[in-house]
Amino acid sequence: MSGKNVLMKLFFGGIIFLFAVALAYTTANYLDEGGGYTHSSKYWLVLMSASVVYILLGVTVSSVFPVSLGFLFSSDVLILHALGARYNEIPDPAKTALVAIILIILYVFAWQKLGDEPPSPSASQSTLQSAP
Amino acid sequence: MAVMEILAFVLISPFLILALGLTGIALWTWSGVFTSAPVLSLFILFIVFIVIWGRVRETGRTMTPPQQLVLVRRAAIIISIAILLPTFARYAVQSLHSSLPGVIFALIFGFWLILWGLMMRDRRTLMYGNIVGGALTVMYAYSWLWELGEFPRIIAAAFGLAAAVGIAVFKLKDKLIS
Repeated sequence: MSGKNVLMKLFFGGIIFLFAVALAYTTANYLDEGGGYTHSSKYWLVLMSASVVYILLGVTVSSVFPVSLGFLFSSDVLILHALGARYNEIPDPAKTALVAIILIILYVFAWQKLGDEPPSPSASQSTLQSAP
Repeated sequence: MAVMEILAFVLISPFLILALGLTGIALWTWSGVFTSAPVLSLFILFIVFIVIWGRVRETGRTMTPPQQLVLVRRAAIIISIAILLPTFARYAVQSLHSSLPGVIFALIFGFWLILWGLMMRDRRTLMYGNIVGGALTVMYAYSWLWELGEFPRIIAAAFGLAAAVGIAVFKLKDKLIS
């Protein structure tokens, strides 16, 4: 894969990201009943719904790298914005469950993908040879 | 191969960014426990990132770009686990209305994490995350126990003593015998 190809993928991923975020925010603003600086619950509901749809789309098209990347990063932005704005309003059991789910995924990923590499055979052989 | 590694990293990175973002939000609200200034939590995050960045730069000179990406990924996971573990304990304690059994659960959970981290041999990412996260959880549980009165303080001191003796015997057994 050439460097130009990777650059094109990143570029289109960025374009999809920007349009996905713009679509979610413009829709949420349009449906917002409060308007201005105070947003209604419908605003946050639209943002969370959009993020769920984007995650599903991103996972579904994971073989098409730029599309998946754009949707997943835009869902990141929407979820973090909604969480950051209304984090104190979430009840404690729900926060506990949310953090537990994130922790479980992190543990599974670290356990399966980030184990320490075993020493290479050549290195262990040279160690054996140098031993008295 | 290197490009594929980078692509794999980019695909997993949305979740890591989400986890780090949640960590930042939790740290922001967490700051109310120890101090009223959220600036302190941002300062701690800033220091942690500076240390990790220095480490990546230092070891990165002899590493290929995919290896550097793995190092960054490990650092992101260690930070997330280390901060989300005490956050989880905090919310669990608050869900149990900050009762004494809830705080004792957090204390046992913290010591268990430290022990689990000490026992790990070939997974350093989880080892560091568990030890740091467990230590922060234990500190949080102790700060709660101290607030609850005289009897919980006795429990705190006794539990700490038992755990310290247990860990020392477990980790230093070979050295004591030899």
